[in-house]
Amino acid sequence: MNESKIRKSGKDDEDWSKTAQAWLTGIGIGALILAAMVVSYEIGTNHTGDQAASTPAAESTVAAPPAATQGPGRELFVTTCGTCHTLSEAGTSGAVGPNLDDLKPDRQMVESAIKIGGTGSGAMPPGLLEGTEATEVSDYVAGSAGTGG
Amino acid sequence: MVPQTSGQQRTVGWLFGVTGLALFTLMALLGVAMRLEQGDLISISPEWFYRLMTLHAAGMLAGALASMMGGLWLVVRSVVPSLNFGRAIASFAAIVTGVVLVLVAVLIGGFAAGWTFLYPLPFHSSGMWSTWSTVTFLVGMALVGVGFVIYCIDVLKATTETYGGLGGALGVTWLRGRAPIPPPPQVIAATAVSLQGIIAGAVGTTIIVALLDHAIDGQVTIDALWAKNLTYFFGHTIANLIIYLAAGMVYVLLPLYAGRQWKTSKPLVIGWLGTITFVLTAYSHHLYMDFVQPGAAQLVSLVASSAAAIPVAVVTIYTGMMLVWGSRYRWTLTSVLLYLGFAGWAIGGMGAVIDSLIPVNFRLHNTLWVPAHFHNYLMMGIGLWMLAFVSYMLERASGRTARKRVTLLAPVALIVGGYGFIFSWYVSGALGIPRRWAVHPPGTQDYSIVASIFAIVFLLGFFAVLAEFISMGRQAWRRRGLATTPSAPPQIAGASPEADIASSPSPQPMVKAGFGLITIVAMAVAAMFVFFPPISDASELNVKYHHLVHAFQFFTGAMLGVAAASSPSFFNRFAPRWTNAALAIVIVVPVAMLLYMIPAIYSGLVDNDFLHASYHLFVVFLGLLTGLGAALLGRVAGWTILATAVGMALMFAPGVSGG
Repeated sequence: MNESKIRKSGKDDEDWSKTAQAWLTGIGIGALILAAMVVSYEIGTNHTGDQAASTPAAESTVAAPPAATQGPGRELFVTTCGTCHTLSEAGTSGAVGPNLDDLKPDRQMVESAIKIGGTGSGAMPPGLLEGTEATEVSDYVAGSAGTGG
Repeated sequence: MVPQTSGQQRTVGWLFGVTGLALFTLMALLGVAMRLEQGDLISISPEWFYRLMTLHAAGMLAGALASMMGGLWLVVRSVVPSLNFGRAIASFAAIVTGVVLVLVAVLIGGFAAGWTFLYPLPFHSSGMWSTWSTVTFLVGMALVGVGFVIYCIDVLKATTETYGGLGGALGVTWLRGRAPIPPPPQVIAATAVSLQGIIAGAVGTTIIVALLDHAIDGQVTIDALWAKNLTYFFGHTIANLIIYLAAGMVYVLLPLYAGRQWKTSKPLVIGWLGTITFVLTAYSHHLYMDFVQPGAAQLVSLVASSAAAIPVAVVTIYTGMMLVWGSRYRWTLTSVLLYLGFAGWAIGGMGAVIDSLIPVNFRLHNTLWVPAHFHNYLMMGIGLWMLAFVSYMLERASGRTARKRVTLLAPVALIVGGYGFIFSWYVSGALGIPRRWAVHPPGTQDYSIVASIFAIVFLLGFFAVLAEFISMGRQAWRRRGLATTPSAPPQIAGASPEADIASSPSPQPMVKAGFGLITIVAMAVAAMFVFFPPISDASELNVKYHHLVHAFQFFTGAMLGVAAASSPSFFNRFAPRWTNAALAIVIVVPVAMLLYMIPAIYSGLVDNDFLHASYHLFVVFLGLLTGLGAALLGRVAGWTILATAVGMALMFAPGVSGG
């Protein structure tokens, strides 16, 4: 082996050694961060669990559906609107129109959308429901959007 | 300095330029047919009208894109010799294949959902077309995007390696006083466009693969608002970038006729930095009518859409005009078309800015105002520059300019016909006539008849130019082999020296041993948090969280891949020779990663712990492959590709569910 090859081989060894050191350091730091994340998670979930266990009243309040979610509005919503709209409380997952759980529209907004067809852009047919039916669905959506599972 | 062109430059120029122009011609004929139908002058069934509308838009986009890609490649190659000829041809092949598939999908399969393929319309054809034509169309559009991405990766890699990194190639290093001489303007344009092209390509691939997932497995559901955002980010950005590709070409061609150099100035560098920001944030003006779109996105779009006009008007159009003003401009057919193209860009740009103002948009968005503005800058801006590009190459090849009567009369027909055609749309739009309809409201046919007459005048000018091209082409064909040296180009006064370029640029690894390597290995290990049982168990309950976990698994693999490929012995051994394989990997593997997330594949695996774990480890492996491939593409191209690949996985999570 001539001198230049020996020099090159020595440089390669040095490169490898530096690379290996960097890998080991990276793995070490990464493992520490990972451990910190796991520990934080465990502490966080246990803490939250204690809180939840100590406040059963709050849990039951959340679990109870609002009054508006009962009645004919829900049924009308599922048959007329559910194909296009997601509303967890009604168990619908349509993806054509906006997700009502995200939008959380108020009663007036729902009434307007039913009357003119969404924003009036033509994407939703106007007048799908009228009169009492429109009011019942508006009450139901306004009362249940964002509350379901 | 006037660049001399090599055989490879001319090959790329002819392939992209002539193919683009041929597509433009065919699609223009379809466009005129649609206008005649709207004026009740000919009869086309609505079924065929919507097919032709879909084809017209997709074909025009691909044709104009291909043409201007060739134009920019030709002028940039003179100062960036490491631009790869083979990869330019691969890009061309992908685009042509994509166009063929789009033609098959529309003409045979009857696909008519519009080039925007907005979910869920492609899957609700009411019997007009079947799923195979939707899939063919989507794959065709994806291939056009892939062709553009191959081109962008190669351009970004070559310019940044030649001019000392991203800052060097964008002129920022010079702007900050750390380099004595700036890069030429066409290099800045090429770098900026390729950076944005890779990002737009990644977004387009994400939505197209999501739609393909839905086509393969009906359990996959897609959020319609998410789909619209991604579609328009992709479509708007690509359509916009065509004119910025063209601007890079014009930086070199216009000075050949003005006899003055287009120099890199500080406003030009700042303007291009602004353009990168504005082009990538303007797309949301397509969603002003969607009340569920977050208000912040609308506000950003409003600002970006208006602000985008500033660098265009102040830097490129104004400088172009000043370059011609007071010069001894040589008026040939090429230079006339180059000059007129600026007017198309400026006027169409104004129409776009007006439409991007929210109160105005509520009146105009679904009207013919919109096709008016984009035809204004595509037809009267890019269309004329496409003609100018081919005309320039024919001038060089045939040794003569176009005949005087064509030079004088054809542009008059193009301008009178083109603007008459477009202004009838502006007026119709202002009156509220809706767009995208085969049949217009009763009593409004006169506008379509007037537009059709002007369109025919435009076509007369256009075909007069094409006839002259054929004549010059025959002369060039007879001259082939006689003189390999093109006719002596004019000297450009005041030409300044260009920035020193690396004589044989070599790719730099994405990270070097030391702090960078430590950081990415640490990030990869920390990201393994997603394998922590409570996290992975929780993610099994919700498809979107599950996809988010996939993104982190992919990220873990990608970081490990980069770390492995950046070791000097690996990088020096494989980087120069394996570039093409690396390019194929970074394009194919992220697509495979998204296709992999369909319930039909994973639903049978979840009950078996070993298979389930293997499924997730395979996602890590795909990330590892992507990381290895990206690292072999060098520092700037590698990080850009890696960021967009991980971005694709992250983007997929909120929009796709089901199963």
